Amino acid sequence: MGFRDLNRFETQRARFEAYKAWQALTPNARQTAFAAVTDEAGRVKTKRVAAYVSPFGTLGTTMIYLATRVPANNQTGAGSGVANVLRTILATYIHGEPGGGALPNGAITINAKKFKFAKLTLTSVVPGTTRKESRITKALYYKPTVDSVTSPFGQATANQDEAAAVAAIKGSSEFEAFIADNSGKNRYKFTPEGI
Amino acid sequence: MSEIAQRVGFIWNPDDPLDLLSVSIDGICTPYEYQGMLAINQAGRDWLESKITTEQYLEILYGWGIVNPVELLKEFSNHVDLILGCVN
Repeated sequence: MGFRDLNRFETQRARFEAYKAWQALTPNARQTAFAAVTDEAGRVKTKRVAAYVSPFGTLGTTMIYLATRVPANNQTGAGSGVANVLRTILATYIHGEPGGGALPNGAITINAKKFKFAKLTLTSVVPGTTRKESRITKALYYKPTVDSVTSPFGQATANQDEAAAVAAIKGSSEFEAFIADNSGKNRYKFTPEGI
Repeated sequence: MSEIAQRVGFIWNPDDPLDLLSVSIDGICTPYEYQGMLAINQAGRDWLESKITTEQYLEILYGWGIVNPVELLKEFSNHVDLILGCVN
């Protein structure tokens, strides 16, 4: 061990002590410390409704619908802006619910137990303007306000390819407007469907 | 306790295990990063469905610029262990 390591210890000492103090806390004390930094009122609670999603690439003109839950239209409260944008973007990729496409007469519905739908997650990231203290090291940082909402989606028309749908969603004007917001700090995530 | 559980402060048990492996990207990103997000998430799905081996999965993660994919996978398996341990 050289002087460099000793120097590094001295410069980081305050944060290291804070870290050790954090580790010594009981779970309940940690929860309290957590709540002191996190704004619980800002936590997203998405209202969800029952709807149908059609898995990608069904043969011919047949649409098969699986029951699932999607974010409801006209949300209120924390994260409602993100949820409403998400519903607008995915309007034609969700069926059988007000705001999405209606189910046609005699539609084939399957009550699947474990199907994993393709999902789109939108995250709005509003950068912090004042520095907040980290709950673990007490380092000061700009804590962003983050709202994240996820919705399953499927094909809009029969025999639609998953990659084509993802490209179409990414190219839509509402999507482009959302990801350019907050100086491009907003995030998004597509996850593929599976069984 | 796994590192994921420590970070989020509760035992996270998603409906879809892919939620523990998937990645997101910034709104303003390069086409390469966008393709990487799609490829990494698809590889995660394929790995969970045993369509590709663990080695192939690690190769794909490394190929798309995740420097230490083994560490990522270790965290995932620790968390799954924790969840299964709670159930038993």
